[in-house]
Amino acid sequence: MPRSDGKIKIKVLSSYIYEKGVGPQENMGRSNKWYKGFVKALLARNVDLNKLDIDFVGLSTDRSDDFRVAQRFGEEGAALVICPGTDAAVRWSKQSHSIPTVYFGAHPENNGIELHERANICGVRLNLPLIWSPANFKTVKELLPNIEHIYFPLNRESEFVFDNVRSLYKSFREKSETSWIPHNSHYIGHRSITFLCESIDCEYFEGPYSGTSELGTLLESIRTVEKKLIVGFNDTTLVPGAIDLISKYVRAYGVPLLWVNNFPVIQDCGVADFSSDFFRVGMCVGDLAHALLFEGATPKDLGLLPDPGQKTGLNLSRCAALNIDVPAALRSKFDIAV
Amino acid sequence: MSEYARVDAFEIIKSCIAQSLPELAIANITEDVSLSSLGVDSIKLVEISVRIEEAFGEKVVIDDWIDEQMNLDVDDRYTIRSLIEFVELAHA
Repeated sequence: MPRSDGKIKIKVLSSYIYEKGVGPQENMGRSNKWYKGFVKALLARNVDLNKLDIDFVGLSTDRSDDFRVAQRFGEEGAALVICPGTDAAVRWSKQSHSIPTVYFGAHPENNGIELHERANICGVRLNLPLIWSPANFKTVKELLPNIEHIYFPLNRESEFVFDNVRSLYKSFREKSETSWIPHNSHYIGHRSITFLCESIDCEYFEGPYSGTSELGTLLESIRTVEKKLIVGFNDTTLVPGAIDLISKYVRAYGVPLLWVNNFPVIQDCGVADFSSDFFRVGMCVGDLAHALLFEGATPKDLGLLPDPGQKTGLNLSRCAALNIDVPAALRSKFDIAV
Repeated sequence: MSEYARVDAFEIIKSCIAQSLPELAIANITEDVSLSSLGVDSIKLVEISVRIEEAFGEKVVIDDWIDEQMNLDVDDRYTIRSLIEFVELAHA
């Protein structure tokens, strides 16, 4: 095992490591829910954490830096790389075929799931709880009984949009001006969400965008649409200024906002968040890391673990501001209410 | 009244910090110092948090203490004294 200074070098590589002042998403890792679970799992196995050298490294928006990051990790003798987020895992997988890697991330419609075939990669597959569970979708309808149109902005430049879906979006943009892809279009990238929306009598719209200008145009195009809901994913947090734009929009026009895997954004300007239980995800990551570093397992032996569970959150003050009634029985369906 | 005497809580907290920072002289851990002045960074803070929560049980949620501390002036944050008081209050 590569070691330096007697310590085992672990690199945490992620796009979701923010400087102060970028917006509510800067708090994504502040409580370090997954990291806390990771530490707890290692301590439970009597690992001396002082023998680990754990370094958090933010991925640059410039993909040409990825090679240099991989080169540096190799030179520093990294024994393990942990990638929080599918986008980091995808970018890292293009650079390293040898350093053992644990990632946690989602694969909607199974896109990109072939990552698990790589000999140096194992991890935890996240579900994106809102679009994984019809029960959660029914909860949305209970919370917002009047909605008829659900809009999903998607950052088409992120690794989260895989090549097959990106190709569809490119074709759609070539044939149309900036607009939302309607539920009945053959350009829809995530078909299963269409069916989820139909199950609660709503129409689904997919909004691939590149940068805040295009996102702003998409949002403006639906300003007069009533009974609408916007749902965000963390690919949007990767676009500088995008969260601020959405926050101002939903506040200005009284639009309910849901998010997946980002309670801080919901605390700031949204109604409800549907997250994986990142503490338990972290415990899974800790178990995998222990197996790799101390038990002689290979990533191939370990494969992908399932998502260990969800943690949902409700912003009651935002609900009150939007005149959304939250009876006790509905509130009890959420793990956190602030 | 807390089920932990103040001195007991202090000793347990000192032990948790010392396990996470073995190079630190335990005599330097007094009620008046802050975790940051002891060299505790955000990564070490998580480790210490886990140790303290395991030592004191589920009533103590260190993330809540961290949230409280974020609202204080920088110079007043993360003192051992405030941590002891937080633990005592949780067990009151």
